[in-house]
Amino acid sequence: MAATDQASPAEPNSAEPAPAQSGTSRRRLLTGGALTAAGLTVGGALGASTASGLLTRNRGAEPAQQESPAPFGEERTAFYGTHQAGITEAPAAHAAFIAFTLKKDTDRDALARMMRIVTDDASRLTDGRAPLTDVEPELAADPSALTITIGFGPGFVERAGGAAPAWLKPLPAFEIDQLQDEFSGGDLLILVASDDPVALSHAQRAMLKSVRPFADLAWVQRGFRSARGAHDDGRTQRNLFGQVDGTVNPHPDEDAFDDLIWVKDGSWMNGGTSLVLRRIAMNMETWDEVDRPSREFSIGRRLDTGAPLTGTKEHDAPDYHAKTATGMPVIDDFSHMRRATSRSARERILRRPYNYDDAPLPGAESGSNTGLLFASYQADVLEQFLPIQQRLAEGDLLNTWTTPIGSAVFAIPPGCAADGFIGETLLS
Amino acid sequence: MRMRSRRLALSRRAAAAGVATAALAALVACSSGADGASGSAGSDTSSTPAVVSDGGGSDQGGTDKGATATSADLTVHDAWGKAADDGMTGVFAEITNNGPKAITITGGSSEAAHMVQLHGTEGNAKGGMTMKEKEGGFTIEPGASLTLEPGGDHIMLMDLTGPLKPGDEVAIDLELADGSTLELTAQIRDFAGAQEDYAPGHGGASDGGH
Repeated sequence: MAATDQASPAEPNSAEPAPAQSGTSRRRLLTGGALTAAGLTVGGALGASTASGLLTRNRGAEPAQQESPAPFGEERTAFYGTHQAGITEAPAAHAAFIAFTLKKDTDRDALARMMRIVTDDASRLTDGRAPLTDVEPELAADPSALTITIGFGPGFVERAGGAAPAWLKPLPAFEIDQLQDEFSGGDLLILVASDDPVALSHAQRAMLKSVRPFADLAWVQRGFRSARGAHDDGRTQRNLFGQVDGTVNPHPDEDAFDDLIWVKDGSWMNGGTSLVLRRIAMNMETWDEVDRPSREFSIGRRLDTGAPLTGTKEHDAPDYHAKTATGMPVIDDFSHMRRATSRSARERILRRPYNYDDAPLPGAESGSNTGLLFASYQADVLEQFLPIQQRLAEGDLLNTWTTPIGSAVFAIPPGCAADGFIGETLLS
Repeated sequence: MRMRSRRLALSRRAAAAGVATAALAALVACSSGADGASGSAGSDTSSTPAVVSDGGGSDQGGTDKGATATSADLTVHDAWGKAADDGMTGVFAEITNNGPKAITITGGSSEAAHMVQLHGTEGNAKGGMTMKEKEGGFTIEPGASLTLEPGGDHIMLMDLTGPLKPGDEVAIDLELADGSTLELTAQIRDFAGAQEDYAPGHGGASDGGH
């Protein structure tokens, strides 16, 4: 067992007493492995298992491979363009969905003033530059692929005197819903995302300060995916139920992508999209009661690879006709995957979910306050998202352990040029 | 500076420049906010020739947010002022002297205020900062930049003629020692700071500025 100090008294059977090195604390190490010839190292090569069978944790590569990847703090995402940023790029590791309620005296003129300020701040922050009035400019310097995406709720469009798309309204109520006001609705959405949570917090603060002369904060929903670099790029994320989550998703390289995502109706929304944000609470306590085969049965996918139960690889097409020896469908009719599967070429959505795991709710028995920020982008909520959501609400085995507790729909306006501002097509 | 190469990235194309801006009389078109940093050059080469900037703003002068540079040798960046309902308030900016000789700003005028003063700050006996009118104005050496910022030198708009609200644009004519004028346009922003002690004889505290 490699150790820079003695094992703690709780491990009387440590393999060999290692000479204590001066200045090394006598902490209990989880790493194991042989001593290197050069001396004692933490995180050395995996060697013989320890007498106590502790898992080894190899912190860092072999000495020959100890180069860290270059810091990604400088990475920037272009702000200006036909479409807003933050929709087609690979989702950043951290996100904050921030919603505001317009103040009563914020009129159309004020909306334009606000959006000029917001656009200027967002374009600077995503470029790694401090916005005007930034009192912590150092926190703006490493954006880590920061994106800031703006959405308008029905109230915003109405205040602007514009015509709202038919889908810009709350979703119909579903029987499974237990929606809370504090996670629902909103006149204005600012979605901030970054691979660095510090950069994100700074940008979130800057946006808040710029908006609050015009609108009051309604809610913040903050979420996370795996840390950048934890896995290979392109590996599908897992949610906190342990499920591979996001296998089926339109890809920007597909021919159909543009029509599925971007509005093309010649209105002020041309080049924009829609966002449905649903906060899905996960009951971790009751989920714990479910054994593995039942978990897989409720999804229709294996937990280890994400493959459909009828397949072997994640991206295998499911075979809904396959039957077990006793004649039951291998993939249950009410499995989550089956119910969520698109029934037509139009019924497809771009999902960019985030996990959430917040402080436990006061008075709650469960120590976990865990779930999913389900974010879906589509050109038309009614045509593309709603049929899927209705099927899931009417029947989905996964509903046993999940509850929608928040819901909001936003119009994501088109992008702008460097001399314009987000929302100009509505407000000019 | 690296652009993130993203598996899912679509090319980012700058919108055509034919987008209407500044329909509202008091407002100047939003611009890229370039501040010398090479901007995020994420856009494709567009076939639309009228694109103003490829994003992020490598084009400094005409597209600086809330700023104009009109004097031959002086360039103004990032001009902004603190929102106030009445009284007095501060205006801040970065002013660079591109010319061969020192330039002194001696005063100013604006429709937004009955008087424009140039202020500096200094430590006071109470351990804070006190601001007062700067004798001799602001001198900028050739090649140097003057930073007007909360807690430092700044322009004061005294006795505002009306409220200044976030998002408003305020024009200020700065008078230079040689008799010429530098026009500066500042965007008004909400700001919690810039609250400093008054030096005696300053004429009353107000929410605006200090």
